[in-house]
Amino acid sequence: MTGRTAQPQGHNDPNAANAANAARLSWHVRLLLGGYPPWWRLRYDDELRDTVLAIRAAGHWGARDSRDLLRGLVEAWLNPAVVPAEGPMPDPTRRLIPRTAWGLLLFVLAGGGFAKLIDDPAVTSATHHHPAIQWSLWGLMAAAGATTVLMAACTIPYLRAILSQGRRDALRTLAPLLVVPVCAVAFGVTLVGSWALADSTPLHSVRHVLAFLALVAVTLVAGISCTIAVLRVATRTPERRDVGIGRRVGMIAVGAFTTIAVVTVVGWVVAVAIEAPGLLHGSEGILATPTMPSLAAAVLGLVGAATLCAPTGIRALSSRASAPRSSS
Amino acid sequence: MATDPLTGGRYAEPSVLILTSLAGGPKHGYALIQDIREFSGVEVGAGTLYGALARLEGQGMIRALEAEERRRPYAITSAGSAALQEHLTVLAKIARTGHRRLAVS
Repeated sequence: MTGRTAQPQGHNDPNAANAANAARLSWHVRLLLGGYPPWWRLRYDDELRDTVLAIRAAGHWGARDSRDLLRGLVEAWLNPAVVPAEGPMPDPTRRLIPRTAWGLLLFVLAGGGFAKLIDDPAVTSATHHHPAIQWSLWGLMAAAGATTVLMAACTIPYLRAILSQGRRDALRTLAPLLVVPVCAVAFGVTLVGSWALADSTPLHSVRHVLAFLALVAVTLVAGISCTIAVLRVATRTPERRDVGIGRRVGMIAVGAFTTIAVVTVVGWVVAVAIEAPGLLHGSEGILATPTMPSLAAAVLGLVGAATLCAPTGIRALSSRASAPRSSS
Repeated sequence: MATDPLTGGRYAEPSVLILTSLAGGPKHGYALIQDIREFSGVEVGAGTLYGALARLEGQGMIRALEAEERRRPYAITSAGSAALQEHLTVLAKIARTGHRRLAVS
């Protein structure tokens, strides 16, 4: 049975190909297919897309098939080593990317929670009296700002690779990014509108709650839309191009960001404990309020994020971090 | 076909179904789904199929042949044949034992 080279089966229906081509993929199926990791898509995207088209053309497609596609997508991200190693993206890089993605997601969630906690009036007033607390918060913001700039810089090689594939293809690849300015405008308008709606109203009034809910809804929709748009562009980037510099800088940025931010958060807790122990231990302190589990969860989340992302940073700094360079 | 209450309709792992299908000759993705449906009544989804194909290819149980347009056929390797043979032998032993004991009771 080994080494068969007989004519493959499955071509007995001459109308199948035409029917498959005629079948249209719905937006959610396109989204699912586009959500597979880049190394997976380089190897299997054409085949998987063709198989999905054939199933749909045969009229067998249902919700169960969409769920199955989603399960396959999650498995592809969780088990990056599954794809044969001779693909264009080497195994270590392939393992680091999903781990880093999960780490950054955890970092965003935990960082958001932490930012909300330090927005407490007791903390903000303490920053006026305790320079160490103020400095630790500035440190956190500086780390976030520096990494944002670094990560933006490392997108330049990717953009160059996209633009070099020809004007028409480049425009098609970059089109999803049009969502970003639209979302930014929508967010700005909602922010101003909710501020106007809630201005001078009591905290628990209907107008205040409505303004808050509107802002949360738009933030969620805009955030998710922008993330999907960026992921789509990222996964369409011609991977075979030489984008090693961007990848390496991005890896360093990830490692630096998580390390600096976690050190700053830990530093913040230490600074608070030394400078304003009342914020931690007083009768109104964080440790005496229901805020404590939230703070612990936020700090643990940040440490978890750093644990997931640290190997990426370490690898970027090590001598073995040579980015894949392809011949195409 | 009614769903089996013991297995929920899954008589075997997708890998076993794929290897069994490929034992009859090279096939591409959709042909595998059709063949598996015909011989086992199991509906393997595209996501499950390609997850299993990737695993099997990584383990050297199958190999990809030259792509035909967007379709890439797969063939079973000697390692895949040996693994399938071993698995089916165990399954056959279980089946024989089950039938014998049911006949006795």
